[in-house]
Amino acid sequence: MTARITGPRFNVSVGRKRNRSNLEADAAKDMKGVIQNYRNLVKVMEDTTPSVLFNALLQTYEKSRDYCPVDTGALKASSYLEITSFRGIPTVEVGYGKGGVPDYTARVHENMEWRHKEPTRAKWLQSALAEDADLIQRRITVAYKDLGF
Amino acid sequence: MVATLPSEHMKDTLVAQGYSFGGSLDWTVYIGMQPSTPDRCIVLYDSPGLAPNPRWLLDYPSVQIRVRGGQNDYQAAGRKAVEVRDRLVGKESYNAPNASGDRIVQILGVGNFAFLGRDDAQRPEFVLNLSLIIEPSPATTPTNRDPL
Repeated sequence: MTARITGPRFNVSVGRKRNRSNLEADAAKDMKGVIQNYRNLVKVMEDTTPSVLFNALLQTYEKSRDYCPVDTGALKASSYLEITSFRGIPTVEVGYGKGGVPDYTARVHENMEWRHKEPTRAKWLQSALAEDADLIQRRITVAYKDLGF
Repeated sequence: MVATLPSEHMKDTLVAQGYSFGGSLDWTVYIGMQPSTPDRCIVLYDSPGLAPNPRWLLDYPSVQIRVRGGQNDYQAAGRKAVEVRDRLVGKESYNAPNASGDRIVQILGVGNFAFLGRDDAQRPEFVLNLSLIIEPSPATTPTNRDPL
């Protein structure tokens, strides 16, 4: 079925037209190219995203270490920022006390009634991430732009 | 009119749903300080949130909720944490149930509730963190920001 809207400048057709059968082949070829380009883009993004996220979080991670209370030093020493994988998706993880070591990590982080020496504090990781939320987004945007996206 | 803390908004929201505030009943809600008794209590704190919108009256605070039970109350305290979570998280946008005139736009959980361990008296504690969007009333305090 063909629907045609004719006007002084527009000629729009929908559906198969016998005299333009080669258009379908051309369109299929073009679409293949578009799909391939899209796949390439996804591949490049998958490859670069972990390092983009890692770098975007690096300064915030350092800030959280500045905010982390120190007594024996075990808590601060348990900090980590690493590229990992979650259900097959490249992921960057920042945290403290991985695997429950030291076992008081969550308790110290969450206890907002304990006073700590400035600039250290409870909620040190949450504070750093909240303070830098906009900055992290901007760093990611800039990094992708620098990569040509 | 003075500003209302996000923790007060959450307290008032719970009180409007039948929870008690202060006093010595089980599962009473407190703000800012965990009492030594009763064992069973729910304490709300204002925790680090995102920066407020500088142009519009829109805030993104966070609230921490800690639920503590008696020594043998691991399950009871955990269930209470789940109950409090379900009373608050995802609640449809509403006017704060107090005189503030503020509007609570959204309540999200930051992760899920978690067991924190036991305090020095071997009482189990659970924690739940909330991320809020609040539209403060323009009538509350002088402000440089405009209402939406």
